[in-house]
Amino acid sequence: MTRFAQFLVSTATTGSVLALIAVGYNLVYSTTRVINFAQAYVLVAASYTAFYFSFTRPRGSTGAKVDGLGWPIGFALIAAVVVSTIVGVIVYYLALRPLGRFDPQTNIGWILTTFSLGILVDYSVRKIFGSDPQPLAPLVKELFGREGFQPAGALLRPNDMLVIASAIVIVLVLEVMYARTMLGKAFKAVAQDPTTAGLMGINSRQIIILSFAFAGAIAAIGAVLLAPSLGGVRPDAFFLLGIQAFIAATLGGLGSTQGAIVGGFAIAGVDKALVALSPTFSRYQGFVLFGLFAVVLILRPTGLYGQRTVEKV
Amino acid sequence: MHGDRERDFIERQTDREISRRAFARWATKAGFSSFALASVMPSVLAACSSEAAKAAKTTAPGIAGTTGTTGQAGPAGPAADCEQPLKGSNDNLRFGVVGIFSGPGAFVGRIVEASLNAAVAQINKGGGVGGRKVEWIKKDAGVDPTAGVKIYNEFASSPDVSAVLWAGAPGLDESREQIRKDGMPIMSFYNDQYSLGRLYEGPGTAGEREIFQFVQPDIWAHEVALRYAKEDRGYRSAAHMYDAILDTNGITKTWFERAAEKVGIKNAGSETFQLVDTEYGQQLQRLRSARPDVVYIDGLSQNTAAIAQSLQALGAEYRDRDAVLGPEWHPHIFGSPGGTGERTWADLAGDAAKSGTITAWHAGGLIYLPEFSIRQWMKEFGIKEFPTGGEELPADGLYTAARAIEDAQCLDREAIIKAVESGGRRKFASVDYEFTETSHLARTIDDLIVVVLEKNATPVSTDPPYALGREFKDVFPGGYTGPTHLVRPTLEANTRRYPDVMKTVIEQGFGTQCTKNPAGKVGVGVTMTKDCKIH
Repeated sequence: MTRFAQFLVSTATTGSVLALIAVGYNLVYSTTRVINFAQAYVLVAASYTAFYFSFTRPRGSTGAKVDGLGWPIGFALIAAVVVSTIVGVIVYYLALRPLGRFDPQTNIGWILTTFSLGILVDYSVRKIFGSDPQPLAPLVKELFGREGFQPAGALLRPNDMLVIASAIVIVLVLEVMYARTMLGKAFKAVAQDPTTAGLMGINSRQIIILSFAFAGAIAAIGAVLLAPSLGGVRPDAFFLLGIQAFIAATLGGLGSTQGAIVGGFAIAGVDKALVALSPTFSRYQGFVLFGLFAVVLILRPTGLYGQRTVEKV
Repeated sequence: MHGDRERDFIERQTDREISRRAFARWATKAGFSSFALASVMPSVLAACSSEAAKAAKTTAPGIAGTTGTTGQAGPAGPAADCEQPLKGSNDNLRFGVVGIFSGPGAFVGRIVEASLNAAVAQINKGGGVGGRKVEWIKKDAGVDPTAGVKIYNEFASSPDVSAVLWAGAPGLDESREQIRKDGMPIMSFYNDQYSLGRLYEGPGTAGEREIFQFVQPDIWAHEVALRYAKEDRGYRSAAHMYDAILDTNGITKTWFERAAEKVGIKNAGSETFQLVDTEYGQQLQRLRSARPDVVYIDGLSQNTAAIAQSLQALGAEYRDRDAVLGPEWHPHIFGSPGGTGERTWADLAGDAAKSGTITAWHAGGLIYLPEFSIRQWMKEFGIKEFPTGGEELPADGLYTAARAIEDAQCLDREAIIKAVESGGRRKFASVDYEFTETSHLARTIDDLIVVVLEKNATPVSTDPPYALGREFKDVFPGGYTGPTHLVRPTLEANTRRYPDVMKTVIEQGFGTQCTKNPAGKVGVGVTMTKDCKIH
């Protein structure tokens, strides 16, 4: 019973982690049809921003090259949200805007520009802060005086609860936005046809910028929640997770917020099932993950929640 | 064909830059023009000069450190067949470094950089090698074995690189065959060929004669740590956790299993995790069922910290030996040098990092001891990095290669390798070490020490109490948290190997000595018992 409960908790936690990152990919994709490969590095920038604002030790003591500001972690999160929102917008201006009007399906320059920008962020972070992992306090370390709870014997930490809750809330907010607000409708309109949306009075560029800004803000929330569980902030922390989250987003259907959650939980479920089966099966995680990815895309190319578009010739 | 055009022609065929000397040798054999011979005659004549041929009885100027052994006559001039005499040029001697300067292992690169900068400054301060300054060329392989291979090939095909220093980067295994073909001397600081059964141990054995290993074998580290668990602590079982991304073949699991069997402690199982895991619940639940007294984590500092935090959240944090052996599960955490041996893991783990957490290293890593040079160099040459441990190995590696060139008075690869093997006992950064024709490993198992985490420069309040070593007062910055020497478990073996070093440790009160005497008691006759509950 404990092992099954742990499987559920681990799946929910890891699935939420992937969903939080996948949502960022989907937001940008929903307006541009472009996959923002810099998204993982926006998380890195956000996590280091939070580190800088909250770090209390003198520089050099942990290999860090900077003196932190020593703010409470909550305020550091706010600062990280502000900074990574700006970083998200900068990614648009540097990686996409120079490409002008283009069809993402035929002009794939965006792959190079978003990737390159991500590497630039990685390099900058290393130069400024150093390459050593740095501590970041969790937003909530204890709840009711306890560092961990054990529902049915499974380990559930306050930070894990926050990750799960955040993923659900963010997905719900976005779903409501898309379904019930003019802004959401504008997002969908720009995704379908920016030119026609423009003719309808929608400022397509503003909507696209907003999508990058939202993706940046969500990245900050994800980064601050996830970094403590990863053992600290570090330049490479979100690269591998970013790949897994991209697979989750694609599996669930690019552009679909629901798909992000479903994709994230699907991947986490398979991963945790492997771990539950045998202690050494996680060595095959990559093989299984990409195998599952290939199978789903063969059977359903648009992903589980993706919508098929019919092109009239 | 004109000599230079001949050389260009050959270079195009082989896609390699060919030294003038090598070209001359080949050209002679191939029957090309005598111009080829003339191009290298001045160097050949210089190498045969009577001045270069004079035997030197003392250590040549420029290399700090001594040969320290009998039978070592010092540089006697290059051998007659030396193609690249040391004195044939005034160019800097260059050593290529294949390192990890980015990615999850970047902390290794930081240690290497600080160490090599100090070593180079020290050697050059003394005039260099045969009057030639020494420099190192930094190349980053990150976590990519193909990058390591590519970098090695670049170094091997460069006539300016005298030896390659392999600083923990991937790609060494993949390069072995090419290394053998090239005959390139390799000083391997952190890559562990011995534990993989691939270190050269004389003619007819596996491994490449070109490779010399400085780091203690990981397989020994597992054995020493588990022996401490069984014989010193009285623990009954140990479980293993390792990173399946960094160790895809599970080699550390094999080492753990062998060490547990050899030591006679029960193997309570093995779990894997991934570098990017954000939770370890399933693995820890399985371990909780098995109730091992020790959890041995083979992973980097960030994962080790995250696992320690998870254990604490589970209410299973390490407290002391009584708690380990008691009814609830509070395993003692052991880790790898890159995990619990890294100072940053305690910063990352916060209060989940407990004093008493264990790893293994070697006695030369006690770089706070007054007789070890490296700490002083790092201060003297303006290297502000506070040593984290491990800095002695890159410095020794560079020195060994430089010293071999000095001894051989020759830059030929074969000559360097022979000189390393016949150079006798050497001493540079910390302890002395030796390579021979049948041993390409600088360490013996008696070198190994147990290392323990102490926090905030304060001993844990326990009964009987223990005192911290004087390094916390005299060397470490105030409030230091980090690994330090746990003296008792390997004292006998260490004393056999390095009697003078251990005399300093005991008499001057370095390391955690866990005595029953009042705090502050140092000197000979100190009683160390196993009564200490923390370590």
